[in-house]
Amino acid sequence: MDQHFTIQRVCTWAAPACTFVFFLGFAIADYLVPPDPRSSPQETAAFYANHPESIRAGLVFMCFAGGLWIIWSAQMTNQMLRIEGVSAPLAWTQLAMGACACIEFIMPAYFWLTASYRDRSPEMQQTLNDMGWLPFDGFVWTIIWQNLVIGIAALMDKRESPIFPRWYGYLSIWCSLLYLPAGFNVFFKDGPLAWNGAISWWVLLAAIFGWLMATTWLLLKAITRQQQETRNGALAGDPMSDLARRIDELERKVAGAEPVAVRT
Amino acid sequence: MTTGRAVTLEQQDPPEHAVGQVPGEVGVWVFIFGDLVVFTYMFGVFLNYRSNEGEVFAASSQFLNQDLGALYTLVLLLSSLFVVRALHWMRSGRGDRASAFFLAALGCGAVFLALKAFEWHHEIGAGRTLNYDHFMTFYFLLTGLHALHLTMGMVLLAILAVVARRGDPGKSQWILLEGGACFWHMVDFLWMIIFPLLYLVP
Amino acid sequence: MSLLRTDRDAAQRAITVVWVLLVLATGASWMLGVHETGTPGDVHPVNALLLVIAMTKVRFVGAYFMELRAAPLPLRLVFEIWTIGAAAALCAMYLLA
Repeated sequence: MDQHFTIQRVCTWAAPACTFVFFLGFAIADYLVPPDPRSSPQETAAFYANHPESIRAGLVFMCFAGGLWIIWSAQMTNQMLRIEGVSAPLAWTQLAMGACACIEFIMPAYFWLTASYRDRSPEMQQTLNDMGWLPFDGFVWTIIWQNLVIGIAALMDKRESPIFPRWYGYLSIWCSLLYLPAGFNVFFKDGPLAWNGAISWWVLLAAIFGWLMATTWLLLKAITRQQQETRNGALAGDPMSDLARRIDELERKVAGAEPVAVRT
Repeated sequence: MTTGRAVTLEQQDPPEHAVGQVPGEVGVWVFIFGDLVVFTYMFGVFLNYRSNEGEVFAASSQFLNQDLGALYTLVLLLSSLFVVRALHWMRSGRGDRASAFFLAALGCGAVFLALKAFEWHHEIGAGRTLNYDHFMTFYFLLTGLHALHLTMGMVLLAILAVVARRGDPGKSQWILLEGGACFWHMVDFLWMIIFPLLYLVP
Repeated sequence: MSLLRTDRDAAQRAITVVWVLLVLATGASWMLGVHETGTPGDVHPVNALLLVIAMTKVRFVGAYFMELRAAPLPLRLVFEIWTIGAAAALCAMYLLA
């Protein structure tokens, strides 16, 4: 029975793993500080010519982060189903958004890997570089919704013992707003909204991974609570037993309440 | 009266906003303080860019209408007053009046957005787009993000107007009422900082 | 119940007074800003004053409109500290350009 919870915990740890893999990969490839969008094609080509092996190694490693993102997203849906029950549009939206977010890690990586694969004209290298950076930084079109539905679900939670604390709902919605400006990096070659800008890159990174750490922590706590609730009866992961538990709660409430008093 | 919770049909007294209570709930303040930190950071970045490009910022700022900027501030101040009044009437049991005041505040928001759209149209029409220079980047960024918050606030106000009209709010409705009101006040005072930064200082 | 009503009315009157002061402060900022002389792009102490006025207005909106005066002390402290800190930081960044 405890296997249910161990598996959940393992899937939750995919989130910190994703974070670690992403940062390590990017550090190895020297991508952590994005290049200047105003760089000339020659400068860009030189970057790829100068250390192709570390770029390839770092980015291939970083690709693992894509799959890891889906694993923790699935676990999040697993918990969200406990909030929504059988009719769960938010939980399924979250899963789909999480799955698509994986593309956001891997596709740009392949444009960069292609650039490092052969010698090409500087213009071509610049094109491939752009094709990587613009979406890698700007592809917020799934994570803003992923955060939003998680936040809404957390705030909608009417259970006796909510899965997530209410502040997490607000935090998720707020982070969703923080991601949004990066989507506009296509308008800029410099300034805070360019792909290397303070708001499009640094705020985005801090928001995504900061929120991910909070999410990891809260998911682990939710699993522990679920485990304790399960020990008081009911099968783990069985929606019918969640229902049974809630009927139990209701019966206790009704038994303890005074008869209805009408105002005279 | 014996022990145990009595379920009565009597209208519950609205929870008076007593000393020591968090307006709305803690989560609302996570959102608000988070926004404050990020906006302050953006204001700081703005001033940093300004210190490097003083003339550019001053030149572009001239194109903005300072009277309009002040008008925006007054419109939002008025809307905040309406929201305060709305909460007051809600606590006094007059949901209908509260609803009217929420709608009045929403109206102010609509006026703000209309003026803002007009201002943006004017700037873009004159060729001063996002990329014209760094000042215009910040102009559109700050006013755009603010307008986004304002729109969210307007949606909230509409919801609050409905909640107020229904009357008899329970605990979660009070959280919504107070939290929503605080969000609107934040929209108001964010503009109070944006106005001098963009319109007056450079 | 009637005592409560008086309290509420008193609070509303205080808020109205604060509101009028905020409107006046807005007007003062506007006048100061519009009638500024000097080289564009340079640093003028007046502008720092404008920022301070703005943050003061913010503080009053928080304290009175958002009812932070009646809120738990930690929450209120965080807000006050942010107001002062942000005012100081923005003024410093402006003046030390």
